Amino acid sequence: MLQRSDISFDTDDTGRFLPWLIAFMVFLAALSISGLFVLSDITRNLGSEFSNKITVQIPVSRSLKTDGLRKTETLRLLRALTGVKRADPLSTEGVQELLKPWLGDAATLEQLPIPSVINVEIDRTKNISVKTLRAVLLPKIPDILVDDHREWLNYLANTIRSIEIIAFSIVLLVTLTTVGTVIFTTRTSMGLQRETINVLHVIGAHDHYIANQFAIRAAWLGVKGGMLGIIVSVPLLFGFRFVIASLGTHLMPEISLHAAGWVSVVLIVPTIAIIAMLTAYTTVLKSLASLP
Amino acid sequence: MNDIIRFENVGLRYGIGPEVLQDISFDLKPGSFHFLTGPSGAGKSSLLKIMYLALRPSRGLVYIFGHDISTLPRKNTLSLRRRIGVVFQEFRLLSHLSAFDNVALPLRVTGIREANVRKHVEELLVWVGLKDHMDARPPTLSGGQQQRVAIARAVIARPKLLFADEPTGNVDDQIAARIMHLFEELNKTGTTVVIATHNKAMTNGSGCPVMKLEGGLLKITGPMKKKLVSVRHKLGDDKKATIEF
Ligand SMILES: Nc1ncnc2c1ncn2[C@@H]1O[C@H](COP(=O)(O)OP(=O)(O)O)[C@@H](O)[C@H]1O
Ligand SMILES: [Mg+2]
Repeated sequence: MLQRSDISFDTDDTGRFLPWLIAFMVFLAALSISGLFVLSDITRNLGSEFSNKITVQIPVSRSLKTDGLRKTETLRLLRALTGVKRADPLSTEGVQELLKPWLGDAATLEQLPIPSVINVEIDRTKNISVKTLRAVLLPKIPDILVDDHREWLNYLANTIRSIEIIAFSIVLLVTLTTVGTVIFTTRTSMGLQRETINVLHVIGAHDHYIANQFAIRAAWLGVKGGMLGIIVSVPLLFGFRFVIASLGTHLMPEISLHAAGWVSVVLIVPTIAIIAMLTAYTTVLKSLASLP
Repeated sequence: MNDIIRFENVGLRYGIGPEVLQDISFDLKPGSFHFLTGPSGAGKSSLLKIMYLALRPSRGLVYIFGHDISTLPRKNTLSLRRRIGVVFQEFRLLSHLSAFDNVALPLRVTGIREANVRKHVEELLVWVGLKDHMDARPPTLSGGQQQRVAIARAVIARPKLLFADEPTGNVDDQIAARIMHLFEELNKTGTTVVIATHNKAMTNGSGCPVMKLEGGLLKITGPMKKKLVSVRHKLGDDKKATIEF
């Protein structure tokens, strides 16, 4: 500690225990907060990428010729609609690529009948929706599938929201645990330092003067524990990223923590140090109020 | 009311125990010098604690520097504390701080500039003969040296009121006499002094009023007017006018 302290904290075991607890808290907070950033990133991407897209799928029929005709007809109908910005058939290779995660190499087999997929980009301001498309297409091609991923997106968004709530709860819990532990250790510490505190009080030390010394120490223990927690968390976060990246990008949206995320993770250290400092400060002030 | 301290029917009990102090009434005039005596356990330390604001009485009225401490807001007691110096019974030096830092404490808690702190503290430590022990921690000092650190800490901020709880308890007569001389010097500059002791040689014929505690009651004997006769002579010490330890 840089500042000379009137209170001897060297003999005080709370100084050994608190940094470890704070390190663990910072570790949990770092995982939760980076998780929150990644999730909100995914949600944002989902929203912007899918909200104007509708997929039209024409199931395979008995003959290749019919398949071709149905595709041409569908494209014509789609392109004639106001509100449809573009309608592009996905190439066979594209469809195969999409199916790969499910079918593996079998997806490339020649004899496998491949449904036609048309990507439609719509302009939602023109009062067009899946319903409109269905109304136009279904009478002509009864088994056609029109899908804007809404349901799946909603499901995904709900799942993400639940995970976000859990992550928030962890951050909240970490904060409360830190506050609770700092209150407890500060009280213990004050008990050990009773004699010194009484002397300081009698010789005319302001309560703030005494509280400051405990606050500075708590802040220092917070920084110490925080650094430890970060040193453990950051490599782990990099590790996660690597593992997820190596799983392949077919099923997973790209996951990465951007600058704001990293900054937030690093800011956990000063934040927890400040929380520890303020908690110790108020705890000491409260407890000193009982002195005559 | 120009009393520095005034007690009116003060009683004190610890918890549900018997009254340690009963119906204590007295007042101390500015610049007076009192001894406080009584057998061990009579309540000398308790009475001093009430006077230096470390303990609240169970009943009665206590005025310190003219303030009724029962109605004084807690935050206002700070300025009273800073006008009071205390030599505790067991010194209560902070063992991890040097002699210098211990003595500097009453100045530092007031937020005084560090340059001024250094000057005053060094001066006083030289004066009490601890020039070569400024950086020593209390546990490495002898009993007499610790005592002088404790006294220096009590007087560094030039208190208007000084309490010493058995300050000569564990030292030989010669050092006791020197310590008494220091208190006399301080008293001459206008500080009101109260010294708890059961050293008969010190109080007998000192010419100072003696407050005697017994069975929870207080009796004041001796001249009520300040009349200092140096106890130095009574203790058969040398007749040097300057303080030397
Ligand atoms: N903190 C305390 N709690 C309970 N009893 C106490 C406490 N301090 C002192 N006493 C009791 O009060 C009485 C007076 O003690 P004290 O003021 O220390 O006397 P003295 O200083 O004259 O020896 C003693 O009987 C002692 O046991
Ligand atoms: Mg005592």
